[in-house]
Amino acid sequence: MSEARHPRAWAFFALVTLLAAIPLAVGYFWLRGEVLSDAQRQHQRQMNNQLNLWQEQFYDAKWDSLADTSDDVLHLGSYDEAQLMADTLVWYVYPDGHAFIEGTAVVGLDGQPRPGKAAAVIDDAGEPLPPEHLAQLLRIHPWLENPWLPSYSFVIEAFQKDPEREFFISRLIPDRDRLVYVMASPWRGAEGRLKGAVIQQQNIGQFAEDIVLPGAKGISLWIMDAGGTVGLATDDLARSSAQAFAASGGLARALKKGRAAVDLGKAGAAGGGVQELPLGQAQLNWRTMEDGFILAVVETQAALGAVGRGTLHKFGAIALLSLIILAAAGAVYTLGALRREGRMMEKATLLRYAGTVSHRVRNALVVLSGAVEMLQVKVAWGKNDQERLDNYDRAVKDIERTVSELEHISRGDTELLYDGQVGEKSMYRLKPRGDEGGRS
Amino acid sequence: MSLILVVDDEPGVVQTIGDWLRGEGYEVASAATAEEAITWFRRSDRPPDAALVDVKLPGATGFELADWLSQDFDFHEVIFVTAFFWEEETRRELVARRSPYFEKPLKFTREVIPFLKRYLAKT
Repeated sequence: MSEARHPRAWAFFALVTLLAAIPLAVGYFWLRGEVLSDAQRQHQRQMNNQLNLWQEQFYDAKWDSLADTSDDVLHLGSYDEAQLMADTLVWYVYPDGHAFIEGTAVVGLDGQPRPGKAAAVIDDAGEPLPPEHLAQLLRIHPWLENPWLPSYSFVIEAFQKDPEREFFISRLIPDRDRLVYVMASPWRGAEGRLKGAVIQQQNIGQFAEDIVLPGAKGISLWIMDAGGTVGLATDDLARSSAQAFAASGGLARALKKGRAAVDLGKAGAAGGGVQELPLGQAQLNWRTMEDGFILAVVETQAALGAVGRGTLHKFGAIALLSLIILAAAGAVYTLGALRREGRMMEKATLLRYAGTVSHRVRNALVVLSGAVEMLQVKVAWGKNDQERLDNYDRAVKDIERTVSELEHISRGDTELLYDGQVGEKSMYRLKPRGDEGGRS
Repeated sequence: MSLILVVDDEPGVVQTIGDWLRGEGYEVASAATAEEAITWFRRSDRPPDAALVDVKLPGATGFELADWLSQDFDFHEVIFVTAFFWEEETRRELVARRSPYFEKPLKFTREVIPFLKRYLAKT
């Protein structure tokens, strides 16, 4: 009866739910692609703009410094060395020791800077710092009053080696817990003889803090010089990215592109790529500062498109909720439909069983009423009396059993079983209970 | 003596009808299904003068048996007997066929025997 239809009904319910889930799932994944790619494109644009900005700032800082040193050279050209020492003995650290330019000095052919020590460290108002404040600063920045390297002979050698050379930028040089780099212009006499150089020394850590990091909150960023020395790495991701970049030969390729860009009059080259790092797959974007430094930003794939992901998750939650509600509604409807169908089946079966009962009772009555009529007209029976008595007995038992079955059905404690066809009509009997049961 | 074929799957019914018909002086033959009735027709020396056929039989129905007898043996003297006259489908078919019929339980003295006498006298 209806039990056989349950699996089909539930299968249909599952199919409908699945079909409803398909457009939601397709929509989710389509939107996911759209949102993520759109967010990534937008993010990439912002990142490119930021990198370009840093490249420009680095470029400007370098040329400003070189211009400063060139100006100094022009001024110093009229001095002899003794006068120079006397006039430039006093110099100041400004402001308060927190500037990426650590100092400007004249370097003699012996490679030593003049003067060798700052005259005063001043505050924003131009006044010398109180001694206790200065002492505190010197504990943090021990190089503050005397930032110079032991020797700058590498600057002198560079200008001696190339008499035509007009400027020099060093690589990153470690000195007393910091990394510095040196920019220099040659100081030559009227006849072209090299008399020394004017240098400006900058602190890459301070440069990054002043120029780069204010616009790089939460960004994994690194700076590397042409020798592969890492001047700044904001976190573990940046450190591992810088190491991987240098190890993969990316540094040499980037510097080559940087030189090509300089030849075209540009501030530097741009590039990027995917890196496989211990923290996962990452997207790297870099800029060269001419052909001297590389500044790079690295992001894990998980971080990319994070902006769109929140919206996407909300959509996913709404889609899932819709599907659950749809499935619940479908389940309730299916249950209701099965119950209705079950009731209809029961009713139809009962109707058919009533026909079977009627058929059986009418046949029994044929036998009994036939006998009664025969007695009434006193017809002689002939010789097969025992067979006839058996017929009457069977007819009476049929009626009794039928009445008993009807009572079981009425109490709801029995089940009807299919009992074959009579023509186009189905016949039913009660499920046997001990010696009970029936036939059509 | 008229020969009447009784076709019904209930042995008690066949016995009771047979008793009545024999008591009235008719010769009686019987079959429990349509297939048995066809076999009887094939084997019998003479066709019956009438056939009392139950409408609902196991397998082929009494209506189908009547159609076969008409087509294969040119026999048309079928009188239907049914316990399903209350059923719309059966009642419509009986009326459409214009054949005589009795509803179970049978009223032998008032309906069956008087009708058979008239019917057999006519045929």
